[in-house]
Amino acid sequence: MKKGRIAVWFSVALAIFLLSLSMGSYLGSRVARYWYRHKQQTQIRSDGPERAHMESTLSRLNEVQYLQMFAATISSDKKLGEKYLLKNIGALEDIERKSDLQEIKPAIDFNLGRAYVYAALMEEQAHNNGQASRYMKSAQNLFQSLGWSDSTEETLKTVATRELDKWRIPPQTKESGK
Amino acid sequence: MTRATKILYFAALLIGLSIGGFFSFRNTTRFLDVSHDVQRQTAPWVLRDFAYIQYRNADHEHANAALLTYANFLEEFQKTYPENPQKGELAVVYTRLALLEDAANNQEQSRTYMTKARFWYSPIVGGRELSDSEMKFAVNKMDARMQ
Repeated sequence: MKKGRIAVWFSVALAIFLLSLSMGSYLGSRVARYWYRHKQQTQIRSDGPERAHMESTLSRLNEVQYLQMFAATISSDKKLGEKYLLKNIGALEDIERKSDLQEIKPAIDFNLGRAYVYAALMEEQAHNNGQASRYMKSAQNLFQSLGWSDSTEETLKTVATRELDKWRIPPQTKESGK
Repeated sequence: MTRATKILYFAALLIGLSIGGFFSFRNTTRFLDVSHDVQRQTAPWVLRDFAYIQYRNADHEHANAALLTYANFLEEFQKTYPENPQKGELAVVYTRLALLEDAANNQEQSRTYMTKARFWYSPIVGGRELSDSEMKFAVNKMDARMQ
């Protein structure tokens, strides 16, 4: 009888331990994120405006890079492309509009232009030629504003395809799947 | 509930919270540190790729602006994070700027950029001076391979 009661106590204690372990893990992660962000901000503030400017440039470039990689990756998949590419373009347009960092604005425009070309290629494959040419026109306008003398469809497609090829996952053959 | 069980349950709660919290805090801060370092290394690639593509495709004015923006950014970056040297990259960017000026027949400006390119390049090769044409040849060869 007593042994049975002790077993129940320990089972309950074990359950409490496991639950609090997972709760502690969640709280630890939240506290770490908060603490890390606070530490970073304090460090940046104490290092002066130049460091703050550099950090904000890096952070903006990081967003652009992430979106660019994401756009190139999803463009090679028809379903994913249809679902996320337009959202991706919207996010890049937002960054472009909000950007207070004039020096990196052309780089954002370039990535936005490239995303328009991906969208045009995708629409072309889906036989939506009207939409495809609208995207291509937007891309051409951006590339012209970046000083490209040759912003023909062929050139832009070549530049975009070269980038897409870097991210394209080769189709799995039966042999490689084995 | 006896006093012993209360102590047992409380101890289980305290030990669980402490262990979970400690390891999670340690792992998360390590992850954030690594993630921040990686982002700091890779974020400049956006400007690097942009400057290179502009150098290959845009008119003189825009290509020049893109390369200068990248060079200024790298110099600032190196000043802010001396632990991440960008000397080689700066040498290449200034050589490209010089090549661009050569194409526009601005010899004076080209020489100014090559002086900067040599300044950044010399520490990498142990101070050995390279001639302007050697550096331009190397950068042209590298660019041809990237095509």
